[in-house]
Amino acid sequence: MTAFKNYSIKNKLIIIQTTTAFIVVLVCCIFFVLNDIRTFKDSAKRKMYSLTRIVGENAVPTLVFLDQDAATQILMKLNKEPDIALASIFDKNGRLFARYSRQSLSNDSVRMAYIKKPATPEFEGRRLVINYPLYQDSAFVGTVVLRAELNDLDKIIIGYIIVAGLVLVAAIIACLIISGFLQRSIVYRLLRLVSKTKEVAKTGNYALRVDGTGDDEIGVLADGFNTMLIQIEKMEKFLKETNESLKNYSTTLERTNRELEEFAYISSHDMKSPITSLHGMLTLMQQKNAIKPEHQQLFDLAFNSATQMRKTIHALNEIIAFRKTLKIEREKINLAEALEEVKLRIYDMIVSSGAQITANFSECPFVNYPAVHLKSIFQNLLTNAIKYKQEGRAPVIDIKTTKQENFVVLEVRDRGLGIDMSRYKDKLFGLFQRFHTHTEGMGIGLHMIHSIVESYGGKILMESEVNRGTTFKIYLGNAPL
Amino acid sequence: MHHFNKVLLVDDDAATNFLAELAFRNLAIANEIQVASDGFVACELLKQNSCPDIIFLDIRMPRMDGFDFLESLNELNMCKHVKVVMLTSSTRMEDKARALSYNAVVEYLEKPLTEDIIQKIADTYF
Repeated sequence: MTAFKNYSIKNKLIIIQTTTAFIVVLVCCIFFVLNDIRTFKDSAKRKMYSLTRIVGENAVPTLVFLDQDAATQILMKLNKEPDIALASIFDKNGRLFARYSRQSLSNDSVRMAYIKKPATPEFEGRRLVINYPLYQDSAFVGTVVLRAELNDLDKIIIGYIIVAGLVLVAAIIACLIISGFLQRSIVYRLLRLVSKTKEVAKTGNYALRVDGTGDDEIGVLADGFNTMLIQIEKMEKFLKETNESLKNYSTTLERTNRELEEFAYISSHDMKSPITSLHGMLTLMQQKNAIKPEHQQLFDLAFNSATQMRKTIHALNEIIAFRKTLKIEREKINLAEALEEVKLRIYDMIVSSGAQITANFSECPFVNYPAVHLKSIFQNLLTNAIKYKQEGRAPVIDIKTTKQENFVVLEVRDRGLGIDMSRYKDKLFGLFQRFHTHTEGMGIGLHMIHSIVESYGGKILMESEVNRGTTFKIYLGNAPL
Repeated sequence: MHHFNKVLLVDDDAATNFLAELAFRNLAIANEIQVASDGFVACELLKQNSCPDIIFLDIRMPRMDGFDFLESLNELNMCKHVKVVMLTSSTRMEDKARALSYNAVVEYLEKPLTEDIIQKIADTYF
């Protein structure tokens, strides 16, 4: 059955049609052969019966007058009937009265035929036997027994089988030829559809079409196939166009971005040198006591403005330089060692504030991250926690790491001033955003951390309460090296 | 020319405030001039004192910026009739549009504030 499943449709159709035709013709042949045999046997029986009756009627007087010769003479006339193998007459007491046989037979075997006594002709294989009782004025006078050997029956049956076989063979040949022609209108078109499908799949050319469609199922299939191709072609065209315009857009964006970076770099760089000079001049004027006391306030304002501008431009330059570093490769970092190095960098600040820093990296001691950025994150968070501590209390900072899916979560908790999240939630990571004014600061630290964390596929969660402290949860994207 | 009873200057840049105050003093057009270094300080001032006739307001300031200050005015329902002039370095159109969407805001000006501008404002709005 599986073998049949894998045959081509052409072969399947031929097999189905031929098998069907074969079975139909076979059943017909069997029916006709059986019917003809029955007809032949019936006519043989009828003939036998009439013959027996005629012989019997003629034999009655011979029995009545006990004329055995006459009886034998009657029987001998049966030699014109080639089928009759044996004929005999028995008297009313069952004694053999006269007999005729085509071959020499013993009287016993003749008697056997008499004993069976079939009233109508009956077949025993190819033999047909009949015992016909004879009456004279309603008185039983004897019996005629006839036995025929229907040797022609076999010949007739064999003849029928040969004819049936020939008919079958002819039918199968005719069926093969006809189905071979007819299936073309189905299979040929199907095969064309299949070859087109293969061609489309192989070349990716959606402009191809199947021709010779029609109103039958294959026509519907071909139409559907063509419609699908049209749609795919349209979609492909649309995708190509969209892709092209996206590409152009992305190129334009890249160029604009480069130009903007360049512009920011040049403008902040070019502003750096005049403001440095200006600031230097003002410092010099102050040192030389060149300011009249009544103009001191004006000078101070000018000096402060210049200082502020110098800081801003410096910070801008820092940010621009920093943005270029956001493509550094990751490396495996020992968190405890990195923290120690940062603590050393801001040693003075820690000592003067009396900050207590505890760190627990036991759950996750390593992270794959650019070392310079990780240290920058540590440094910014620590200096923020120390700068924005509560008045009159030493800062307390707890650091730990945990693992969550693809992230190493760095948690830094302080008990400092905190930030009013309801007010500043949207500005937390903005450039130059400041939430406290009592200490020095540019408002670039959180902005930088945020840029780093996002560009390495992470995020920052922040909880803070005014006068209770702040907890940063930095999700460091911990991609494998 | 209109004479202001009270003027409030809100800017984190002390020099800007100084120059604006100087312009007012030169014109001798205001009885009282108050100065706040950001929106938060300005809010506290308004809570404790009478409302000014006019507020000159910067946008980018630490702690509470100009927009947050305007929001606070609405939320606290303070100084409903005060006129606000935005005085800023921001040339961004969206900042201007947003500022002018507040009923209190009557003008959106770029720094610096000069005597001419003060006179013009006094003539136009008072």
